[in-house]
Amino acid sequence: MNSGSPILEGASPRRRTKISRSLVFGVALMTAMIVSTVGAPLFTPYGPTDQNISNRFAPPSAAHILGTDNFGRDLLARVLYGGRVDLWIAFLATFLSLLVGTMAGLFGGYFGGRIDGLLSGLVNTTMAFPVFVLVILIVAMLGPGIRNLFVAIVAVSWVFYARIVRGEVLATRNKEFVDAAKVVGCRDRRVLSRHILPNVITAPIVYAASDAVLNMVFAGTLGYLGLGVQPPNPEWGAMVAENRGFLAVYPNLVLIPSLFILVAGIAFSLIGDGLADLMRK
Amino acid sequence: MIPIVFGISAIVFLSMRLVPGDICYRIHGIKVAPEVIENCRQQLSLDQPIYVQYYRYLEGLLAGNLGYSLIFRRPALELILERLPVTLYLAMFSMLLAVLISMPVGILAAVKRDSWVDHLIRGGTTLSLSLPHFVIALGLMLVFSIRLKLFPVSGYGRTPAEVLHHLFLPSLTLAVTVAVLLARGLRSSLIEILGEDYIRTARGKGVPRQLLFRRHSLPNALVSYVSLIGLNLVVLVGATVIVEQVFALPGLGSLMVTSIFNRDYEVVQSITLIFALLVVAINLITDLSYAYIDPRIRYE
Repeated sequence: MNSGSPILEGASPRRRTKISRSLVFGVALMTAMIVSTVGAPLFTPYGPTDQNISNRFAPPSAAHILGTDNFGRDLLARVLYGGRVDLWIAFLATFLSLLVGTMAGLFGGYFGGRIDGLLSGLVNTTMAFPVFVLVILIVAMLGPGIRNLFVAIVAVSWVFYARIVRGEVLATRNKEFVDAAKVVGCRDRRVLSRHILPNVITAPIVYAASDAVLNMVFAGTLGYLGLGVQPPNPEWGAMVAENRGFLAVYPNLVLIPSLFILVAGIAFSLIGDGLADLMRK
Repeated sequence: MIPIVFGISAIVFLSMRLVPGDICYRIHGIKVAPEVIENCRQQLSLDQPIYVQYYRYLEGLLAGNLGYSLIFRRPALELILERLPVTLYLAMFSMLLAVLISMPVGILAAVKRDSWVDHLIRGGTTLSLSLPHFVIALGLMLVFSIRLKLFPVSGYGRTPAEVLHHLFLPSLTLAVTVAVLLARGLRSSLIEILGEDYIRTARGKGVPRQLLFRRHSLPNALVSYVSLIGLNLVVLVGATVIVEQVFALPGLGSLMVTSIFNRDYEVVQSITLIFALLVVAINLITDLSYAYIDPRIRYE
C-alpha cells in the first residue's frame, strides 16, 4: 500500500507516537517563563522603571532578590517585565511569519506560473542577504522601536517558511488524493485548505520552534544595539547593553538577563526537538 | 546569479523608501529654504518616476558610486574600503578557528559514538543556537580579558601581531557557534559514510585504519563539510556586525551601527549591499570548491 496515505498511518496502533521527555520539559520551562513574565506583578512589588538612586548596585537581599542596578531599579522586576517583550516577539513574530510564509508557499507551489515566479524570486533574493543584516537594515530605515522590529523580523523570516512549504506542496500536489479531490469537484480553496495544507504543515511547524529561538535572539540583539526597545523600558538584550559598562565590577547585572535569554532559548529548542520527534512520519 | 544581484540592488534601493517622511527634510532639517529641498530632490532624482530613479541608482553603482556620507562628508565607497579588511580578517580568522575546532571534535565524535565528545556536541548545539553572540562575547570578555587579562577588552591593533591579539576573542565568539554546527555536520556525514559498503570492502581487504580514514572516509565527508562551511560563513558574516560592535572593532558592522544612529542612510544601504555581494561571492566560491574536492563534480 502507498505509505503516503495519512489515514492508514494514523490507524496503526503500533505507530502511535510517544510524547518525548524533551517536549514535556520544554513546555514546562516555557510555561514557567510565561507565567513569571506575564504575572510579574505577583512576584515583585517594584515596577521595572522605579528608580531609587540612594540604593544603587544593591547586592541580592530579601527586599531585592536579584539586587538593583545603576539607577537603583530592582533587577528582578526589570528582568521579568523585560522578558515580556522577548517572549512576545518570539511567539508573535514567529506565528506571523509562519502564517504569511505558509500562505505564500501554498499559493506559489499550487498555482505555479507567474505568482510562483515572483514569489520565488523574492524568496531567493531575500535569502541572498545575511538575515541579520537585512533585519537591521529594515529597522534602521523604519526607525528603532518594537513595532518596527516586528515588521522587520516578519518581513525577512517569512521567506524561509515559504520555501519549505512550496517544496512540500510541489511534492504533494500531484498525489492521487489531490487528483481525487479535484475529480469529485472540490474547488481550489477546498483542495488547498482541506487536502494539501494538512499534509504540508508539519515541516513549517517544526521549523517554527527553531525560528522562535532565532527571533528571540534577534530581539535581544537589536535591543542590545539600541534598535529595539527604547530606554528606560527593559528588555533582556537592552539590559545587557545598559549594564555592560559594569561588567568588571557587577557582572551579575549582565549575567542575569543573559541567563534568562539562555533559558528561554533552551526551552524553545527542547520544544522544537520534541515537536520534531512527535511529528516525524 | 545575475538576477539575484539585480534583486539585491532593488531591495537595497527600495529600502530607502521605508524611511518615513521626505528624505530631503531628513537630510537638511525642516528649517531650510524651499530651494534647498528642491535642489536636493533634483540631486537625488526624487522628482523622477521610480524606475528612472532605480536606473540612476544602478548607473551610479556601476560607476562605483555607492552614495555619500553626510556625516563623514566622504563617498561611502571610501569609508567601506577602509573598513572592509577588518571585517574580512575577522570572518576568515573565525572560520579558521571554527574549522580547527570542529575537525578533530567532529571526527572524534563520529569514531567514538556516545562518548562525552558526542554528548558535548549535542548539548553544545542547543546552547550555541540559543545564546546570542553578544552574550558569548561578553562572557569571553569577562573571563579572558577582565579576570585573566589575557586579551584586550576592545579595539584594534596596528602591527599584524597586535591585530591577531585583538581579533582573537571576537573570532572565538563567532567560531564557537559555528564550530558546534560544523562538528555536528561532520559527525553525521562520517557516521553515514562509515556504514557504506565500500568502507566494509576496504576493511575486508585489510586497508590499515589510518589509510582507510585518510583515503576512503574523510574525503567523502568533506563535500558536505564544505557546503556547511559555505552556509555558516554567510551567517557568520552577518554576525560580524554585532561582534564588531561589542569589541569596538573598526569594521563594516560597527560603521553600519554608527551610521544608523547618525541617520547616515546611504552608508547603511551601501554596507548592506556589500554584505549581500559578499554572500553571493561566498556561495559562488563554495560551489566552485565542490569541483576541487569531488572529482565527480564538473562544471561546464
